[in-house]
Amino acid sequence: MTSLKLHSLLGGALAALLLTAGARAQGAEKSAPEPRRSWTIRAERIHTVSGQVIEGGLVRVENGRIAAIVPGGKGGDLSVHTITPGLIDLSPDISLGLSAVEEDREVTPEMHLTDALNLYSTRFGRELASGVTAVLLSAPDNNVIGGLAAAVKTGGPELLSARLLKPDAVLSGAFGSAPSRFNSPAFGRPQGLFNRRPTTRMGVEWEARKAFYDALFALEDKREHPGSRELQAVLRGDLPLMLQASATQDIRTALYLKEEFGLPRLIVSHAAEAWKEPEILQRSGAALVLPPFAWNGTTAVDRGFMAWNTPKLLDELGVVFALSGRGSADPDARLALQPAFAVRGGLAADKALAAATLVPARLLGIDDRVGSIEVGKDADLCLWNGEPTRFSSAVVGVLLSGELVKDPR
Amino acid sequence: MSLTLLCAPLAALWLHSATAGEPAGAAQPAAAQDFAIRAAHAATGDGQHLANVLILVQGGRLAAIGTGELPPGIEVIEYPGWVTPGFVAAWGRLSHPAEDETTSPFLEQLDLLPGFDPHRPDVAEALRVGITTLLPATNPTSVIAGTMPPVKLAPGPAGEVQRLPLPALLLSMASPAVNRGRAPTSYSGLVLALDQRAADPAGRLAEAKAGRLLVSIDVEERHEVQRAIDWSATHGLRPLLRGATLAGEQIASLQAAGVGVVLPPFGLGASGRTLDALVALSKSRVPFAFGYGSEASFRLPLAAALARGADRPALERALWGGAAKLIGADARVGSLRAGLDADLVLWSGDPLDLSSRPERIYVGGREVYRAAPLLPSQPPKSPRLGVPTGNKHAR
Repeated sequence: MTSLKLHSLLGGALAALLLTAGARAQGAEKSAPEPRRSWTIRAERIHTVSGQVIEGGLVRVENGRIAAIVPGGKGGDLSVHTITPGLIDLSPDISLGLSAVEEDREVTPEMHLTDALNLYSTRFGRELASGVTAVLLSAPDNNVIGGLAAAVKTGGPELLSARLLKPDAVLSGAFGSAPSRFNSPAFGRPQGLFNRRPTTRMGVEWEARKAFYDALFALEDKREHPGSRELQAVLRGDLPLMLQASATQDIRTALYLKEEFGLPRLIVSHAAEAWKEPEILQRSGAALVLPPFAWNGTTAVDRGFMAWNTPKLLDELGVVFALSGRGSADPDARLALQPAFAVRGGLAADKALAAATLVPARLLGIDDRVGSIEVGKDADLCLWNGEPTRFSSAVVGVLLSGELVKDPR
Repeated sequence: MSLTLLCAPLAALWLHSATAGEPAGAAQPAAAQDFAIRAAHAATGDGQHLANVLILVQGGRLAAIGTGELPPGIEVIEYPGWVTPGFVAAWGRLSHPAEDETTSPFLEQLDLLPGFDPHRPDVAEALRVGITTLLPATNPTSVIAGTMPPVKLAPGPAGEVQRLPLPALLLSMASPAVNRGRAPTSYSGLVLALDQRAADPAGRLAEAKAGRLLVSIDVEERHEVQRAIDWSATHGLRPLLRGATLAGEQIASLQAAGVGVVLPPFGLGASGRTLDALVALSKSRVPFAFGYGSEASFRLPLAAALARGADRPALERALWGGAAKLIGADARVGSLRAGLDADLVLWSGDPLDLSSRPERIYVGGREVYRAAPLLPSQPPKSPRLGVPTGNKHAR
């Protein structure tokens, strides 16, 4: 695969040379040469996100890391309109399937999603081609508390060691109708061996609160049960809790849970209707992941309604939020389009871009490696043919760990 | 003693049995006895070929290959075809009652051997392919299916099961092992459950770590292969990965982990990608073996892979010596080497040529199978046999 990628980027003559080298050595894996990871890229505009926008400059990449950002300058291996950091999606359109969620119980905080990843999924390549270089992968929303979600890069060898940014980045769960969907009450027909609860939103909330109370009791009694350690880490603030909640009532439930247990780090994902509860939201200090914008405002989870000016409103309230790409009615409206939509709704361009790069990186605690263009960080870069927050622009090139995985030429 | 070199193999065989005073029918297996085979060709099972080889069988074992004086008075079978060891299949789905044990997905204490009956007709079918040793498959929905040693596909002289010493602990990390019928329903839950069992110092996995059990893990897709590699590395295990169809696309990982793979039976419709993966695997240093699915399809992918440029010695090791090593039975079977069990197959031609067939099979020096005679000198009566009849009007 690597040699195929190289084929497209190095052009005919060099590719022919590589092919003959490959044939000589036999066995593609042995002969696959290391991809080129050092580049000098010129751009009319460099959005560092963490610092200034540089009008006309070079980004030098050496051995997969950003080595220098030089204002002005000439030449370079590649020339594009704009460079931004690679996009980071906390709710990507990568389905892991039911084999990634342990359904024999409703609360399974001890499950590691790293054990259920399928890095061979073709969805990774599609995300990468659209400019998303890192994603958070959580268990499907069938469980109230699904387990420990993992932050991974979207490209590179299909090995955890090569792709993992943070194994247990957040504890993920879901409120709303998802964890009770398909579950039937005790008098109904069981769905299988497990007559699963909860069957209502009340039950979902009860399960979550019980889980945290159990964790507190376990702490008091100095004993352990499966998942108690992870929940205690959430209570201490060592681990963020990310709960999916889209409708107003579910967002309220999530925010009240944060207040009840004093959870220091709560992220509400797919928070479409958060704008309807500005006061509780502001008071709680929770961060949000917004679903992708939809033409009529109706989003995928529980048909939560998100107005176009939601990001602007949240910004005025001082609420931290990230944009995301999963669940859009339009399969092409993934993360790369969302900053433009947010700007359309009145948000400042730099904040819109940060909400797809640095903000999600900070929420996961991976901003030491990715999320902005700074010397020493991984060279995960998006190359655009125009201003990223304009609808007429597109991601034309992508660098992942310095490797040119999508060639703008 | 018959030393006459005869051109027609069947005539030679007939002569042999006539001189030995045995009935030609294989209903009553012959007793183990000492004899010698002089064959025109031999594949040693380690990737080498020999011509005009002389094999001495004494006490059910291979006593000498190629050289040495024959003891006086010993019977010599003159065979113009090929002689090879019996195939070693490291995975095989036989109708084995214990395969379907579903009381729990964790059956580490279950001994699967009593469920194996060497008298069943599907065992004889697998034997007819030329397979003499096989490590059976188990119920893929069991995370831990139990322990099972490799077995010979023929009953012993008293009708008993013939097993090989090292049993395997059979695990599954394939998708059927995670299903919504019971826990675990997810790969995360499966890994966690196996982690807990691996931490038990008195458990079966501890025995495996100590080398008293072979560990075999069923896998299907590539991410499952990688998960099994990662999990095994965490616990210091070097398992045999069974069912890895596309292992040839993961050579670097497999090589780094130092584990071997067993390809599942491909069936009749193996895709080009599957065959290319097999070709790549044959050119790598990853040890591998084949699985048995049905009588009709066992040798098909081999021939197809050879046609696509697979490394022939590697394929031969995967059928014989390498496979035996993978299932921990190489001290007993898998090669033409003095001291090993006399599990031999006499082939009408090159065993990797689909037009060849096993004509006689010996297990432990005892003849357990004899093919019904073809009548090569007469033209087939029915054109459906696919042999040109010479009749132009038949088209």
